Amino acid sequence: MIVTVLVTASCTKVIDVNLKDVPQKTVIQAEILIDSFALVRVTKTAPYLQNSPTPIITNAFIVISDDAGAKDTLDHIGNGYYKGDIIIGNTARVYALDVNADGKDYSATTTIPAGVSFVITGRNYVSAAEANRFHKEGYYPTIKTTLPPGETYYLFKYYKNDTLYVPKGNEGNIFITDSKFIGTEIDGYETPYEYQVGDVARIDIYRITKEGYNFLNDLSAQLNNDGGFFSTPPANTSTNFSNGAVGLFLGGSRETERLTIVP
Amino acid sequence: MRFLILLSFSFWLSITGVLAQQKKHTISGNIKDGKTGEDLIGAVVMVKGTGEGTVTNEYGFFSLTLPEGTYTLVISYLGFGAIEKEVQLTESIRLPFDLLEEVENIQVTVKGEREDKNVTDTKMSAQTLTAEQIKKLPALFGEVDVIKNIQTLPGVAIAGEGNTGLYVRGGGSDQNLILIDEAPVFNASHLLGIFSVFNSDALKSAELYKAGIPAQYGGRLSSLLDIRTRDGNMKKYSATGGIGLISSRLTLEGPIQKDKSSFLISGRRTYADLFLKLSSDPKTRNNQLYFYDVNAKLNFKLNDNNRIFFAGYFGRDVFKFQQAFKIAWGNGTGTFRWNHIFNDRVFSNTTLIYSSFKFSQDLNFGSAQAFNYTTGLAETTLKQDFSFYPNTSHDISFGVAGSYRNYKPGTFSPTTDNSIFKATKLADYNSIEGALYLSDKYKISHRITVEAGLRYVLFATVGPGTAYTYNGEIKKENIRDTIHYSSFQNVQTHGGLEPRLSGRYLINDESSVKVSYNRNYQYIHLISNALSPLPFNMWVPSNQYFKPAIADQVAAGYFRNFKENAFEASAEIYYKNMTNVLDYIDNADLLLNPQIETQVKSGRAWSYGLELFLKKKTGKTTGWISYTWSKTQRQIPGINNGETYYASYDRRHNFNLVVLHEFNDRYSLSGNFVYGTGRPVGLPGARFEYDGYVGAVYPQRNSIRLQAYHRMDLSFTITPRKNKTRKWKGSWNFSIYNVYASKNPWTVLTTTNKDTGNQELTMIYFPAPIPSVTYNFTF
Repeated sequence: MIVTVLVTASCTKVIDVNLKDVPQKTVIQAEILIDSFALVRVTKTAPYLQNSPTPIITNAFIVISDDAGAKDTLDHIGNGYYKGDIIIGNTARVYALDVNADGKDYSATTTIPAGVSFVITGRNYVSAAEANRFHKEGYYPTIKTTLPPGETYYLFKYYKNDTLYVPKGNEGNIFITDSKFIGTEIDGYETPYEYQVGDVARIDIYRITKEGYNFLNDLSAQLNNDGGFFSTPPANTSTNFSNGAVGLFLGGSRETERLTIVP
Repeated sequence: MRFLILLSFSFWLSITGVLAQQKKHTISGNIKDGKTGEDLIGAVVMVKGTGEGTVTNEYGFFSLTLPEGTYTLVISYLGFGAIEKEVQLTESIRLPFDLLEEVENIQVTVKGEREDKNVTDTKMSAQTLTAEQIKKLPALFGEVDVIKNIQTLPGVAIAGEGNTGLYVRGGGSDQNLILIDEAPVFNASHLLGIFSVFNSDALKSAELYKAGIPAQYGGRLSSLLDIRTRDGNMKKYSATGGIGLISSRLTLEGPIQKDKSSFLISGRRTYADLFLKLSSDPKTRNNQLYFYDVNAKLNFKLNDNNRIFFAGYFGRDVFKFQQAFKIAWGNGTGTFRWNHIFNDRVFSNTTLIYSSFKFSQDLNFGSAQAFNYTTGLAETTLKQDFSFYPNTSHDISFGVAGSYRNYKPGTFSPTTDNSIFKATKLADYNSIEGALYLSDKYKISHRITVEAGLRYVLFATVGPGTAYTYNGEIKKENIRDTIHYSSFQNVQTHGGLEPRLSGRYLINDESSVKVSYNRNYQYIHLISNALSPLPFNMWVPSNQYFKPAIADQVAAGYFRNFKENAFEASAEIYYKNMTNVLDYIDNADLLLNPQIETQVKSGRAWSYGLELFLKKKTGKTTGWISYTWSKTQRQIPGINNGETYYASYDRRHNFNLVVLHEFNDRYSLSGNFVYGTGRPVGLPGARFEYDGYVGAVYPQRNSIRLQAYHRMDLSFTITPRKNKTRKWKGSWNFSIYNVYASKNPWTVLTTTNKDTGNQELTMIYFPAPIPSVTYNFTF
């Protein structure tokens, strides 16, 4: 945040640096959500500054299995995505994912934590006079929920008229939290983004695993890194995959609520 | 215990040895600035024609013991006239004080400190700046900053723009013992590092030791920066100040009772943000970015043998951005000292010190998302130091010290009724420390002088507190048990001997060779894995998981003066090995983590280098050139796959040029040029895509070097002629920071181009050039 302010106050210039090559790695984006089939995307890393798209792997062999003996081979459905059609996510099972890509095997396991239901209680209005850089003029839907006890982890996604609110890329924000500093009764939590009259605000709250939180937290740190001046030194993301793959096998439950903004 | 016996034995041996010698007498006294009554530190007292001599200590006191006879003493100090005084030594005498004033008035040639001090002193790897010298340093943003100037000395690496951190001989910014009137300052930066906390108007002297740290001091691995404030004018009231674009400052001083007691109070405030109040935008008016600080000192001469001082410093920084966030931090220190002269040869100083550092951060993104976070530490120390001058061959100092520290690693609290956050407080850490030291500067012959010291510290982390035990590797998943400690219950004890040794061999009157070996222990650790000393800043004591860090350093140097001491030159080499140095695991979770030991690994760091220094001390043009070649690396199991990597402040070449030129008594120009190899950073080698986000794959830690850092600053001072006849003396200072607008990377971000969607590297740099005007005055 300090950096955001200083960037505004200082000068910026795009520079050319000879970056170090790192060996190409397989990237696996995998998830199994409650009441859903597994969805996996397999790609590869690309040199950081080249504008070529990241290579897609379309011939990977992917199997998801659970601790009750069920097995499901995922089919390629295009653009590097693979989908299952047998196993449906359930909080009672432990899932294992085995990926064979380019002759190497990668595996990971996950569970699915039970979802947390919530309601949108209303919206707060921030007038032009009250607004600031981090709190712009508009309507902010508010959330009420009760969190389960113990260490729990969440991912939030905000949509405006069913379009994910922020552009992603390198500068998007990932909204995640653990329960470390948060009380169990939440009432009045505002969305980080503003909506205007007529917008449909959609909020998805995913309860996710600890491994999922760790990976997304590391990815978020990369997106917000300032080169180690105020932030921690940049580092690679953690993973629950074996054998050097980059990515995450995420288990989670999703709850969705909507609110149409009226004056 | 064996050490204690050894220490007392060697001490009594030296005293009894002295007493058994022939009939001798002692000349002692204080040397003062005759105009202000200010004690002069490091003034030189020489016995003409003998080569014998001494320098005044931190309180202006000296003692010289000589056989009966008649001597001529030559007393000198930089910027003052040297004087000669004949003494008949038939009994021990105390010299009258105001020596220098008389001579200065009759316009005797102005001489410096002992002119060949560079060559003759046993001190190496050390630099002293006196008040007179500090005043003449280049001013930036209208102010002379001692720390900024120290950064131009050899062996001190620059961290980059807007950072007053000192990186001395491969040491981190937490490895410097920075003392103001003997009180440690835990964070010496103001305004996110643009200014340091030291107001030059209040300073008497600043001395930096990169090695050869006296046994009296310890607790940090890499350097000692000993800053002393002025005592205040004992003769008359006076005011000094400056009004500038960015900040203003005012110092008032004077006698409480003439020649017996005095006061000094000095304050500063920046007011860049006051201009924001003029803005038409109410939100901009609501931003704050300022600091203020106050130095105050009282000193009372009770009688010839007793003197007491009270000194205090308090400073605060505030950085507030609209209603969204506010950070505030600052140091507070207080020192009480009692100087007592037991007899002509034994000088005692009793010191009670308090120092604290506090940091707080408020965030508010809507009423449910508001919290406050605070961290800090406080230290109380009681010290008893003795200087003993048995004869002209020995300068002995010894003493004891005890400290208590309380560390507050973090308190997190919701700031609104409906905040989603819950209050969380980490258990405090507490530690007690006892130190004992003995040091002797022994003049073996005209050519050889040796300074040998030994320091012993016993350090204990004590309750109340909470600690965790682990099964196997220290990871959160492996926590076995939680242990609660009661008040002053011992958690873990550490300790060790710290030998300090330095020697000088005088080759001839103009050149010498010096060597030194130092061992230093550091028992407190800064947990801050960003390069900037802010915002995250938390100290923890050595305990069962953090072992004290140990540095062993050897250094050797050749010192040579030219042209009748007008030029000083030196070449030094050093090797420093540091063990139990901390670094942080990848993606370390440091915020309010009760098991901070799970986020940290310890290992070895080492540094070596060559430092060249050439200084011109006299004439219309003065200044210095310094060049340092150095290499600083670390190897820590569990970090960077256990492979060696460069410290983030490692710079292969550092070059500094500082020039001051006095055209005449009206105009003077000063400038400096800085060059440093780019610092190593972590930048990604590859990217990956995850759910639409662009992630990065990093090669080894700190494996990419940023472009070189270079900059030139200029400062021009105009002193009106009418000053000579008036009580009110004013001068104008115009300065330009980064004259040729060099774009030095402050940091580099990975960004996505908004138009093309491609990844880019974006450098952030300070706007430049930054001009500044200040009107300085004194009356």
